[in-house]
Formats: sequence, structure tokens, C-alpha cells
Amino acid sequence: MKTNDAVEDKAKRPDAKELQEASIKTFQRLASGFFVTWKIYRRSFTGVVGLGIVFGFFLIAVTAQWTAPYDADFKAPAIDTFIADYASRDLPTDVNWSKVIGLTSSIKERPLERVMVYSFEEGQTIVYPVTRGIGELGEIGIEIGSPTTYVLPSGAEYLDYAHFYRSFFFALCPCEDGSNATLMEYNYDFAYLREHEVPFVPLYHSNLWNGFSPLYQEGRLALAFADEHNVWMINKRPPEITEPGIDSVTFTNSLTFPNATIVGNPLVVDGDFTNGSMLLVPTDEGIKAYSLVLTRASLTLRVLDISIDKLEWETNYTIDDEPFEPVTGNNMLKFPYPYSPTTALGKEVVAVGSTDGRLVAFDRVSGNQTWWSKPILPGIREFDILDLYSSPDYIVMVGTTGEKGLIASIDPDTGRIGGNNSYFSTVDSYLNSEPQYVRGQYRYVFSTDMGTIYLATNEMKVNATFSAPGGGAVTPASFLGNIYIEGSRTGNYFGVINAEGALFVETLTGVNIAPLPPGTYPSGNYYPLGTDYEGHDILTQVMFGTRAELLVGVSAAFFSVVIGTIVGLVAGFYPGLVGELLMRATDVMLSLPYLVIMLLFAAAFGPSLFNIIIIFAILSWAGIARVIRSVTLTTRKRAFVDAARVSGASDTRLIFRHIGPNVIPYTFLYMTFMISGAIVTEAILAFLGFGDPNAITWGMMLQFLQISGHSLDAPWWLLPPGIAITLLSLAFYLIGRAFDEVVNPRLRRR
Amino acid sequence: MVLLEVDDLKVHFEIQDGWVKAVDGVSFSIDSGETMGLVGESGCGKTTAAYAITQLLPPNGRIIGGRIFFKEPPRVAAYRKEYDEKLKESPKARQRELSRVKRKLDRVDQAIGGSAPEVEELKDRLAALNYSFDLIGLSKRKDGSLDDYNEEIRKIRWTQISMIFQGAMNAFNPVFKVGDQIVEAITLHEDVEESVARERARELFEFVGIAPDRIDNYPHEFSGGMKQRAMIALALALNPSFIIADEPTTALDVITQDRILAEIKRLQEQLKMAMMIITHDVSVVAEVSDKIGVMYAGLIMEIGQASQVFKNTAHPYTAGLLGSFPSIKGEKRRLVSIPGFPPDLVSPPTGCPFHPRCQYAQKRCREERPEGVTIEPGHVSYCHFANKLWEKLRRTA
Amino acid sequence: MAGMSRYVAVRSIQTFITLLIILTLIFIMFEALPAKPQDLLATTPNMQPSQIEYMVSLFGYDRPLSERYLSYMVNMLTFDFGISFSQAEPVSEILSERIPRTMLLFGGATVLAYLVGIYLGALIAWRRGGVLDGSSVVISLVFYNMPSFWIGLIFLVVFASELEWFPLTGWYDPTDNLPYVIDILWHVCLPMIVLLLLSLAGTVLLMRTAMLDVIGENYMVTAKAIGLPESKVLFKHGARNAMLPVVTSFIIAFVFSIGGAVVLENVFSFPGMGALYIDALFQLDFPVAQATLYIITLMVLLGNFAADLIYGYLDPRVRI
Ligand SMILES: Nc1ncnc2c1ncn2[C@@H]1O[C@H](COP(=O)(O)OP(=O)(O)O)[C@@H](O)[C@H]1O
Ligand code: SF4
Ligand SMILES: [Mg+2]
Repeated sequence: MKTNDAVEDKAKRPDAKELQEASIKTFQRLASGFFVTWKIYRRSFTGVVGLGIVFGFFLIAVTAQWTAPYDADFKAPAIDTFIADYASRDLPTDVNWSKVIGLTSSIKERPLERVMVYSFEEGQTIVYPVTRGIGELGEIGIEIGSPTTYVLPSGAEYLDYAHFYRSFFFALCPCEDGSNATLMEYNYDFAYLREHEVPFVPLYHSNLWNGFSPLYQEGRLALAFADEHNVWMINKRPPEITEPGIDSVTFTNSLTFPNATIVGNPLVVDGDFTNGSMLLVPTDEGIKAYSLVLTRASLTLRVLDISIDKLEWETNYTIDDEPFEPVTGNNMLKFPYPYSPTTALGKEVVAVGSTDGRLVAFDRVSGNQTWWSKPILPGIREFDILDLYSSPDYIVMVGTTGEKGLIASIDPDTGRIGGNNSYFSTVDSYLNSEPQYVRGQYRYVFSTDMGTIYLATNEMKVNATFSAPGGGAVTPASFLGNIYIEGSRTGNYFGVINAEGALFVETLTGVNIAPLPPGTYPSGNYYPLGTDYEGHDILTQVMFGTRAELLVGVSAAFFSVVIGTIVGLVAGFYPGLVGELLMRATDVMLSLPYLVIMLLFAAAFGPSLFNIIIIFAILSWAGIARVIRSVTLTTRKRAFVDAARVSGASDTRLIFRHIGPNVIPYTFLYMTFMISGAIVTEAILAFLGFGDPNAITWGMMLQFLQISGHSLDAPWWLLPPGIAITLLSLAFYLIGRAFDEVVNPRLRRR
Repeated sequence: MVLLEVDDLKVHFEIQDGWVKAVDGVSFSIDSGETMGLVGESGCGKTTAAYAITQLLPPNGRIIGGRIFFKEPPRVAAYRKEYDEKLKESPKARQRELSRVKRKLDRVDQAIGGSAPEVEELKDRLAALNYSFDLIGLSKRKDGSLDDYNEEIRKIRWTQISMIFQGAMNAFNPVFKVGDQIVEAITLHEDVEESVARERARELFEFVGIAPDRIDNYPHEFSGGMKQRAMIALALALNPSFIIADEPTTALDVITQDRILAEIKRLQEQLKMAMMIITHDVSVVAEVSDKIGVMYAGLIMEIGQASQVFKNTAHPYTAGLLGSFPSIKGEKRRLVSIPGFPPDLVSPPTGCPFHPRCQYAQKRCREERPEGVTIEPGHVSYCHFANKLWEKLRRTA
Repeated sequence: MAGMSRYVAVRSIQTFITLLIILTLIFIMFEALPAKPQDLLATTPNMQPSQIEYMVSLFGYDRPLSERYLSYMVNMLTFDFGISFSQAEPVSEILSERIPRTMLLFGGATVLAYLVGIYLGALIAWRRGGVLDGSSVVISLVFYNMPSFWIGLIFLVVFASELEWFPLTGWYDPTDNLPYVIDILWHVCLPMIVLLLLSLAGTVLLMRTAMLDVIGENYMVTAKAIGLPESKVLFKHGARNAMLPVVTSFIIAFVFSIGGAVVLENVFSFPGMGALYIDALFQLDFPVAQATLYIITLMVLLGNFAADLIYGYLDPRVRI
């Protein structure tokens, strides 16, 4: 029979023109067929709506890259999603508060025990005990106890708190006559201990480092003061080095620069005395570096005394021998993280900024220039360097650009901004506090003139802000310490006094407030449908989810329909034993609780979109197989009557030429229904935890909603994916229904 | 005595692109015991007309106009016609007359009372003015649809008017036993024991020639002819005064057709019921009808006694229709089928609906709808040229 | 009625054969899983050595495939499911607690869905073209295409969390101070309503289509013509026939509904078989997963068998 066919075909092989005509005819037939189909289809309003919805989703899927508000993997910055926990106390309003300090009695873990507020002008001091409590949002937060008031000398210009054994305060008051200053020392309970006279009115003071290190179990405290021409240094010893129970502070020695003028804070490097400690003094002539001599106990190696030794090196302000204008002032020099020599090793440079925005670094040991750089801040044309600070990994540069503040992490090896010039942020105003490095999740804390406390990562990405309610802060935000419970660090606490004169104590272990409801957030981002628990923008996720959804829906349906059609065709064409067996199998498939079995498959093969597609196809072909079989049976009867059979057409030819065209519309029809089913099925599998964790699908969005425990309180997250699933599934279903009327005219009248 | 009078009935169907004017102004009447045949090509509105009588129209059917009087006493009918003539096109005058009669009736009733002839007359007049015997009036809603489950019409159904349906093959509910369906009809209207009803069903089966014990069979266990007989049995269940048989023989083979026709004839003879037999097959009506109405495109073309219509055919359509069927009587006639197709009833032709297919059509035919032309008493043709043509048509026939 | 009993016999045999095939399929699926029960047994912390030994001998994990298959089939058909890997308790005990719950939820919802759906679908079709028809069809279509868990979550939010009409989760809560049965019904209510609505949507659509077919049938005209009141025409003659294709598709509805029950049990933390099944899958608790799947399939098959009997009763044409 086959040979017959071939011969016949050959004999009648059409020439090109005929072929062309034939193809035009075929095309016309197809076009008119399409037109007729569309004319009938169009009558179904819901069908047209369904088509429109599918088309809309298709557009979304294709254009999501450009039209979605954010990238597929976008997460809202923590600045939007995180709210620090805080507690507040109103302070007397007639006092000009200057500072918030955290107090501890233990040098080892430095748990935050008390918070002290102090006014330079009035000398007023209030101390509040603080404990861990329940936060505003039910999280672990902070509780402020009842205050005790002390009066310290007023007019103090320098006051800090030393984390030292039986801790002390130093209050430095410029004496009334203006000649000298006095350093006053108090103990932890605010009892006056003693005072030291400083032989000038200090303009600058060094970094106050307390030399606690694992090697020397206790602390060591050294502090240098300077005016325009003098440097004066004191040294505090642990008690057992002097007399047990009595603390001591000794004056060390002083330097005088009769010709040069000191222009910035002296810098003490290598605070734990292991790598050759130094005192760097910035003068108008250049940086002068002195070695510090440590006297140690012979057995314990404890530092007994510190004294300023010889000039090690000095350098003038030049870059490649060209002079430059240094940025002078309180924090003009920086050595990377003077407290932690281990991390500073190999990066032992002293950096200084220039007024034209350059940075220069000098070798700490030799004083030679190691590098200079002009930091590039993408998107920022001009900026000024104000201060330099240090952290274990970076030199922190603080500056301004226009009205805004600027903070950047500078690589101490190159002077460039880390992360390929990306580790920087602009903030709402000038920084009014030192960026304090805090171990833990959030690396830096600083505040601005506007009173906002910023939390930034090591990469200088702002990931949370805290604005003390009731106006901007009047004091710089300061790190207070940690509160420990059962040996675990539970949070870093910060203090600030706002414009209305209230003390705020806040903890960085605050609350992730995501999922965020729709709205605009501190980062300036607008989340039209809110975010999920991790800060993913819901609208973006829904838009990108369309892709996976269409992919899964269409391909799962396609494969299932292909299987179903083949089974149906074969069963219909060979209605004997083969057909009977196939139909039995179909019946069995139909009575399988397919969703339940799908779960088993998904558990077995692992969650991936591909597996879901295959599983769906394998388990849901039965319905269509039945329909195709009955269509095949009827058309087959007709086809037998047709000349085709008589003239000796083969079975395959019969199937493709005659039965195929009758079957295709049904195949297509059921495919639309199947797509609708596959979309919902994917969602269900995903929701039950068998979805592809690497794909964004609507089902996964809802699963995440469920497992993150927000199913009851985040309607902006609950509704969109579900609505999308319903809409898309419904749309395909409606197309199916409308197309059903085309295929089955019997239905049209309805 | 007139049993049923259909007056200017108009039934349209609402469909997607407009209205199907299935029946567009049909009038006829049937006397007690009389059999009327309603013939016409398929789709001309015969079934629709029948369904309007029993109010079985599908939900998109609307009564656009007309009245159907059933069992109207002759005197009421006379008064009604009198009033219709007198108060034509003046609803106000009718209203006045109505209140006048009402007042008078009140007065006279009080004065004389009882069933004095004068009271009777006034009552009849009132009924005539109110169209009290109009079946449509009982059920018609404002939009022309019918409240077709109302008590009045339900009481008339099957007790007074029953039907033998066009698709009698499927007229029985497949999930109930045939006998039970007959019993259901009987017990619905008559307060009898079920056993009595069953006995009646068996008798009916016997009457129509089915073994009585088949009443416990399901419809699918019956052959086509048996179902048709059972249908007749069902139609007779409550001894109605009027039976409509819609294409009673259409789906049957020729032998069964003959048997069923014989059955119907027997009915007429034995039970003296009035019947309306609807068919597209002229030969059927020829055999059993006293009177014939020929329908085309929702309109009556010709109506009259069977002999009048057959012999003195006065309408070109009737002539064509008769020509297209071989006579049962065996007279040799030429088979002339009418050229063309019946019109689309959504937009039927203007004027005489038959004009696109009529060989005698003139300009007038396209413009004016023909009035009835009385050829001889009781014989009316709706053709402009009926008077001229009937001689000729008869000749052709 | 001889026809009927033959019909019942044929259908029972068919159902039993289907059950055997499905059991075999389940066996194959579990055999195909990458995790092997022996390995799981070796690592399960809860089970006593004696229990492990029992399980190995019961299911013959160490014997060849054919023997494993045989003992599996025998065990399943005799409802001897062995011991749960994760809970070290007899599976039948765990199941016997869960089955009635799921039966209540799933059975109740399905039966109600059918009763209400047939009624509503018939009514809607009867009033076709009206506001009732349009809105019901749209609502049904929407429900039909909604993911079950999502509508479950929404109901949970609205009726349990916000309005607090129903409890959030569970099966029975002694602190409610309600009689045992009432409290259970109260807990079952919400998931059952959701499942009901979901199943209802399909049934209503199906019934409507079937009814529309029936409305055009001649016997409907006959029923009206003999003077029956509307309700009798609609329900006795119309719905009665329209039900037939709906009952035929019972199996599809069952399959749909049991899927819905499994999902909803998870949404509502309803301790039924669905929740058990998912847990078992996650914990690779083979005996439990196997038994649950089997019982669920059995429930579907028996439900379908019942539907077939009802169909045979409803349609005289099939009882031959
Ligand atoms: N429900 C309906 N909706 C729309 N048109 C209808 C309906 N029923 C009948 N028709 C149309 O009305 C016309 C008359 O039908 P019918 O009364 O059944 O004709 P007949 O009985 O003479 O064959 C036909 O053109 C038919 O197509
Ligand atoms: S009126 Fe005119 S068109 Fe109509 S039947 Fe008579 S002759 Fe023909
Ligand atoms: Mg008809």
C-alpha cells in the first residue's frame, strides 16, 4: 500500500506554480477558517476577556525586565524593613544636654548597665539603669529604670568614660581664669576620686584607648591632650600594679613644638602595645611620629608605664613631592583600627585627606608615602573630606556633598573606595557623630544633624535608620554597649537625645517590620503592593512569576495533551483489544487521586519546575484521551466511508489526513483547560512545599507567606499571587469555554 | 360550536441578531369535534402556533399580539365580536363601556338577582369586554412572555387540551416507566387512587394497541411506533376536548405512519374529539382533516374546508405545496416543487411573504400584505389575486 | 431487579481490579523512590530493634522484588500497614484516628456539594440568562479556578482571624467548653465550607450544562404540557435527568475534592489524613505515606463505586 502511495504521489508531483497556488489556497482556507473561528469565538464575551487577560499576562512575562518596578532578586533595604526598638524618657527641658554615655562595671563583657546623660554647660548628670525588656513590637527590647541625678563640674569640655577596671570619668574643665585645665576623675558611682592639672587649655585630644587585650587581662589607659604647641599625656594603671584597691593615674611626659602649630588630634596607634606603639602629631609642617616606650613588669609583661620617646619620622604634606592642603581638625589622621593590630597588620598606613578630595597614606613605620588616591564616587561630582575614622577592614571617610552627608569605606591598601567604588552612601545631612563600629549584624552606627541614626554595613550600605520620634537629635548618637542574657549578646544599644529633650535608648536587635504594606518608605522606594517578609517587592515578584507560571502551564499542558491525544487516537483507531486496554488504563488514571500522587512524585524527584511539568503531564492525560478516543471513533467511521480508505490509504495517512484535522481542535481545546489546571496545580505543589525553590512562582510566594507566618496579617502579600493564579487560570478556562462553543456548536445557543 | 378561536396571533422569538417572526398574525378557528390540518413547509411556524395555544413556548418566545379563545360560549363570542367592531381602536371607549356594563350589572343583579336572562346577558357582555376566555390574557406578562405555569393554564393543560408531540420519540422521560408517566398525568388532575389510574393506563394502552402489561417498561424498551402510540395514549389520558398532533407521523416508517394515521382516524370517529393536526405532509392532512390551514412564513396563506382547499385551490403557495406531494388518493399529479427556499423569518419579505418564490408575483405583492379574500363561504385566501387566480390554479392542479 | 444486581456485581469486580492495579502502581512508585526503606529504618532513631525486625519481616525489605510485591499486596489488602518509621507506632492506630476526620471533612463536603450543586445548577439553568445565572456562573468559574489553599487562607483570615466566627485551627479544643461533637463540628466548619465551595463550583457548572441540555429535551415539554407545576417539571423531570452526567463525573469530583481536602487540612492545621500524608512524605515515613495513599485511593474508589450504584439506580438504561 505504501508503495502505491509513493508511486501515486510521484506521478502527480505538482510543478512550482501549482504548488504555489495550492499553498495560497491552503493559506486562504486556513485564514478563512481562522476568521470563521474567530467570528464564532468573538461572540463569547468571557472568551474575549479571557484572551485579553492571557495576552496581558504574556506581555507582562515578556517585558517584566523593563516594566517591573524592581529587579527579580531585589530586596528592600533594611532601612525600610527594619525598625530599631527603643525606649524613651523625658529629660528636664531647661538643661542643654550634650552627651549620652553607656556605663558598665565590668570590663570584660562590658554589658550595658546604666545610661548617663550629661550637660557640658550645666554639669547636670542623670543616670538611668537599663535592662532588657519587651520592645514596642513585642520583641526583645529595652526598659529604662528610675533615674539618679548627680552634679558634675559644669563647663567641662571633654568627658568620656573609660571602660576600665573600676571605671572612671574624666571631666576636663577649662578653669575660670582660662589658663589651665583640670582633669577630674570619678569612679563608677560618681564619687570624686582625684584631679590632675593639665598645663594648658586643651584644643585636641587623642583617641582615648583603653588597652584591654587578651594578653593583658586588665586594661591600660593612655590619653594625650594637645593645644597649639604642646602635647601632654597621662597614663592610668591597673590597681594591683600600684597599691591594691587604689587606682592611679600618672602624668607621663610632654612634647613641645615652639615653632610648629598642632592642627589636629594626636593619634595613638597600636593601643595594646604589641607592635611598637606610636604617637602621631599632625602639625602645620607635617606629621610627626614619636615612639612610645612601654615599661613592662618582668614576669607578667604588664605595661607599667608609658612615655613618649624619640621622634621616629616626620613627613610634610606632599603627594609625590607636590605639596597639598591637608584637611585639618579633630580626626584628620587615621591609622586603620588602632585597637586591633591583628587586622591592621599589613595595612599599617596613616592616612590624611586633602582639601581637594584626595587621600594620602604614609607608612606607619617609615613615614614614606605608600599611596595616594582620589576616591571616585559614582554619581557624585564634588565632595569634601571632613574626617577619617578607622575600622578593622577599612578607613572610614566622612565627608559632605552638597547638603548631604557622605560616608565611605576606603580600602587601606589602595585608597580606593571598596567594592569597585560602591562602598559608600549619602545620608540626609552632615554626620554629627563618629561612625561607631559595632560587631554584629550592623557594622556602623552614626547620626546626622537631622537627628537620624543610621546603621550601615561594612560595605557602607545603609540598612536601617532610626529617627527618634519628636524631632532631630541634639546629641550625637552614641554606642552604649550591649546587654547580655545568659551569656549571649542580645543587642547593641544606642542612645540619643531628641530636640524635645527626650532620651531615647534603642537596640539594633529591633524588629524586621517586613512584610511591608504598600507605600513609600525611608529609602524613597515605593512598593505598590508592599513587600514580603524578606523585603521582595510583591508586584515585581508577581510580574516575574508570570514567566514560570506560563512556562509551567503551557508546557505541562502541552505534554499532557500530547500523551492524551496519542493514547486517544490509538485507542480510537484500534477499538479492539488495544483500545480496550488503553481505555482501562485511562479509567485507572482517572480514578487516581492525582494531586496526592503528584506530591509523592514531587517528594521523590525533588522540587524543580521541570519535574512538576513532567509529573503533571504523566498524571493528567486521561481526560483528554477519552475525548480524543470518542472523536476518533466517530471520524473514523466517516473516514472509512470516504474514498480515502477505498483508494488504499495507509493507517497513518488516515490518521494524519482525516482524523487529525478533526482531532486537533479538541486537542487545542483541552490544552487550554489543562493549562488552567496546571497553573493551579503548580501553585498547590509549591504551597505544600514541593515547589522549585529557585523559581519565582506565585505558588512559592504563597508558600513563603505561609511558612513565614504572615498568612493572617499581610493581605497585600496574600492577595496578589492568589488573584494572579485565579485570573490566569480562569482566563485559560474561559478561552477553553469559548473555544468549546466553536468546536461543539451544540453549546452555542447558551 | 366554535371550540378554539385564534385571533391575529403573533409570536416572535428573541435571538442574538433580532427577532424571529415565527408566527406573525395567524387567525383560525376550530369547532368542537372538528379536525383541522395545519400544513406548511418546515420552519413556517406551525409548531410555534401550537405551542402558543398550550403556552409551551421556549423562554425566548414572546406573544407580540393576538388572542386565543378557548371554549368561549357562542354568545360571549358574538358580543366580543360586536364590541370589537364597535370599539375598534378606542381603548377609552372600551373602558367606558366596561364600567357602564359593570355598573348596570351591579344594579340589575341587586334588583333582580339570580340567573335571570338579563343578568346572564350582562355577565356575558362583561366577559366579552374582558376577553375572559382568552388563554393568552390569563398568562401574558407585560413584556409578552408568558407566565406559563399559572394555575388556570395548568388546569386546562391535558384535561382540556393535550398534545401529541413532534418528537414523540423523546417525549417520554427516559428514567421513568411509561405507565408511571401516564399515571402521573391522571393523578395530577383527577383525585383518583393510583391503582385506578394504572387501570386507566392499561386501558389506554389497550385502546392504542399496546399490550397493557408494557406499562411497566421504560421508554427505551419501546419501538418508535410504540412510543408514538403510547404518546397518543398519554394524550387521551384525561379525555380532553381538543388534541393537537404535531407531526404525528413524521419520524416513522411508512407502514407505521399508516397505522398511526388509522389510529388517529379511529380517535376522531370513536371519541369525537376536536383535533389540530400539524404536518408538512399534505397527504397526511388530506386523509384526516375536515378543515385545512396552509401556513407560510408565519402567516396563513389559505384556509378552508379540506375539499375547498384541495379542489378549489386559491393560493399559488397551496398549489405549489399540493404539487410537491404525491396524492395518497392515487390520482396522478405532477410533482412540482416550489423553486427557491422559505424566507428567513428574522427579516421576512415585505408584502406577501411568498412573493420571491411566486410565479404570479406583481409589484403590489412586494408592497402590500394581502388581505383575506373570501373565495366561497369558509374558504379564504391571502393572495391579492386570489379571485383571478383560483380558476387557473385549479386548472393547473 | 436482576439487571441491577448483575450491574452491581460487574461494577464491584471492576472496582476491585482497578484497586489491584492502583495498589501495584503505588508499589512501583514507592519502589522507584531513591530512598530505600532498609536505609531509612537503619537511621530511624525512634524505633526499637524488635520493631525494625518486625517491619523487615512484614514487608520483606530484604527479600527479592517479587516477594516484596506479594507481601505488600497481602498487607495492603488485609490492612496490615506495619509501624510508622517516625512515630514508632502501628500505622493502623495512627490512621484509625485520622480517617474519620478526613471522612467527615471530605465526605461531608462532597456529599453536600453534590446535593447543593445539583439543586443550584438546576435552578440556575432553569433561570438561564438572568442575573442569577450570570453571577452564579461567574462566581463558580472563579471558584473553580482558585487555588484551594488560597481561598482557604482567605477564609481563615476573614472568618477565623478577623471576625473570629470560627476557630483558627485544629480539630477539638477542650478549652472551648463546648460539647465534644459540637466543638468538632465547629472546627470542621470552616475547612468544610471552603471545600464545599470549591467542589460546589464544579458541580454547579456541570449541573448547569447538563440541565441546559435537558431543558431542550422533548420530555420536558411533555412534563409541562401535562400540567405539572414548575417545581415538578424542574426537579422531578429536569434535574432528575440532568443529574445523570453529573453523577457519572463523580469520580472526577472525588479526585478533585480529596486533593482539596489534603491541601486544606494543611492550611487549617486539621489533623486528618492529608496533613498526615504530607508530614509522612517530608519525613520519608514510608509505611504511613503508603497506607495513607492507599486509603485515600480506596476512599475515592469506594465513593465512585457508590456513585455508580446510584447511577444505576437513577438511569434504567444502564441496568442491563
Ligand atoms: N426557540 C426558538 N428561538 C428562535 N427561533 C425559533 C425558536 N423556535 C423556533 N424558532 C424558529 O421559528 C420558526 C418557526 O419554527 P416552528 O414553529 O418550529 O416551525 P414548524 O413547526 O413549522 O417547522 C423557525 O424559523 C424556527 O427556526
Ligand atoms: S399575493 Fe402575489 S405573491 Fe403573494 S401569492 Fe398572491 S400572487 Fe403570489
Ligand atoms: Mg414543527
